[in-house]
Amino acid sequence: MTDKTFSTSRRGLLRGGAAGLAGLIAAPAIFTGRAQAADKTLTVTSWGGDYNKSVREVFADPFTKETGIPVTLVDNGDMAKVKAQVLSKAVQWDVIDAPAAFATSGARDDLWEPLDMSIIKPGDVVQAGAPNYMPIYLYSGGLLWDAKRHPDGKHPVDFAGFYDVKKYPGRRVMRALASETLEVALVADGVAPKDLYPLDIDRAFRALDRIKPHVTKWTSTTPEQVNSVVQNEGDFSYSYFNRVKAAQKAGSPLDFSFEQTVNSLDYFAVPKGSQNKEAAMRFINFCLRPDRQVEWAVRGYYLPNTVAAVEQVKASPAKAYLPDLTNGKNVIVNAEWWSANYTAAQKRYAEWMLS
Amino acid sequence: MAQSGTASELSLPSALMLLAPLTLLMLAILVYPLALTVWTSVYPGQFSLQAYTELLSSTLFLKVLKNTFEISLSGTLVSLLVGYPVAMHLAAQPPSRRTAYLIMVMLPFWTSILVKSFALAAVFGNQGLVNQLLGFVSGGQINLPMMFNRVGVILGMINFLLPFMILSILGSLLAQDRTLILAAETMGAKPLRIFWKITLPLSLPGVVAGVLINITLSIGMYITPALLGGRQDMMVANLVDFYTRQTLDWTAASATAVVLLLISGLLVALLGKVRGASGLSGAVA
Repeated sequence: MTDKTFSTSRRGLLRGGAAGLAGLIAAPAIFTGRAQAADKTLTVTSWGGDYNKSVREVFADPFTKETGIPVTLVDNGDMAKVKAQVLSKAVQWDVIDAPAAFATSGARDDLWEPLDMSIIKPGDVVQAGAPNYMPIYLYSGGLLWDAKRHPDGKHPVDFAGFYDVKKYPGRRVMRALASETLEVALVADGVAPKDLYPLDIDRAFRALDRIKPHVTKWTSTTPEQVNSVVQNEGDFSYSYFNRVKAAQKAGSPLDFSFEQTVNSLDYFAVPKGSQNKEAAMRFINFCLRPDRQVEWAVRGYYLPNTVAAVEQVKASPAKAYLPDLTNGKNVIVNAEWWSANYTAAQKRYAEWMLS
Repeated sequence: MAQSGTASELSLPSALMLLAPLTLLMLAILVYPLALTVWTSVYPGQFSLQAYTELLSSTLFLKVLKNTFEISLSGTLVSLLVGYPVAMHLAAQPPSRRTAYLIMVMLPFWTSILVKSFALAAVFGNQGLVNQLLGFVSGGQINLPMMFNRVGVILGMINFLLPFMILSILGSLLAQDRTLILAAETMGAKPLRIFWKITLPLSLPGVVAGVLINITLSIGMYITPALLGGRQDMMVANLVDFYTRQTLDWTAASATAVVLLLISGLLVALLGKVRGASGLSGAVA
């Protein structure tokens, strides 16, 4: 008798377990089902903090107001996650805020949807888009220092100065990434910004060898590039003006040089298999509108990518915070070159850092 | 129920039934992802071992591998040198006090490794507590670089490794028969001789277990070298991250992970052999 009861309950347990297992297996389908049902939503990746807030106020909220499509912002969406989503055919993000390395590596691995140019009509742009990623704005990287510890004359203002340790003694902070770093090294070594590409990698590494003993801190994230100077772990670093501006607002006596900058494009791209492709294309188009571009540029100290917006920003007081890309001293990063050479250059750089 | 035998003996079907939930769980969350990793490493579109041949001839990988061994061995050594005296002291305490001290040993487990790393940077950094004190005492003459270099990685690592070392040594110290020591004392042995002839040899299974656990834990370290290390302190797990996220080369990333797994597996097997199974059971006890 006991045996019988036991076996029934055991069978019952098994049945329950099987049902549970079936539920588990079906779970992804249930989630995708829900995503499809709610079709008109949009998930955009972002970069946290002030940046996230700006995207929300300049792009996302006005877009929702106009179209009724709610926008969710997800921070720190890196390419490994994009690739995992595309390969597993469970794409949750619709627009990726992609620096050049992301945009080009995504294109190489065929992770992007082609842009629908019947929806995206940017008009005249400064930098034209690729078939599957669209430049939205330019951001400027340059030298920063603590103005209290290093008043004017005691700090470098251009890349040659950053590499001149006799004239400007101090601890250097450098990126653990080859992109932008190789450009700075070559310009410091005397290459004119307009003649940079294709980069002379061997020459860049010879210049890097010279500065290496004076580098006390290698940063793998953007906030570290600023924080290391704030926390007195280094004296001269390279980062982006909007980050420096945020630190200034928080009370740090940091300063930034517009004398010489490296300017990179930031792109928007749509992962292959996005559930809300049309909304994503509409969002990209929305962000390229001159009025959005002007607000974005003025707020974040960026250069807009639509020509109409550039004119307006140049006429505004924000002009003081924008590099003049035509004066021959500023570098514009060539995304195509990096697309072809990123892996090899970064591997060599990582190896060089270890030795 | 009579036919199922005594309570201590399970029939094969019952044993299988009892093991089924764990087996399924392990299949789903351990074996399947592992198999997928191995598959990714040998099947980039078609079967190929190229990722492995490239890896083994890559200067970057060999340098990182050398780093990894250096860091985990030196971290384990420091942990052993610091942990053994602590375990001995704990073993000498009356049980009630030992419990209180053990809680202190376990304290590092109560904080996330991320928070601990940042806290360590605040204590040992250039402007950290230790250097402020040194600067104060020496009149600003001494400032030791203890963060963002090898020292930083080892400091962060032993903070995490020590409890494992202390607990496994303590286990084998407590298992020792006190009358052995009493007998040695009766025969006129000095404390140092007792330590060398009795305490240390009998605690070796615990030491081996502690060393083994420490090495296996530290060989796969990721956050600590990333946050507290300098440019030369990249470890294999960081290299996996490098291939996964920076170059999107998942074949290389998987191959690196598989090699790391093989090395840790080999270490476990080797060290288990050295002292026989007793070393491992010492850790479990």
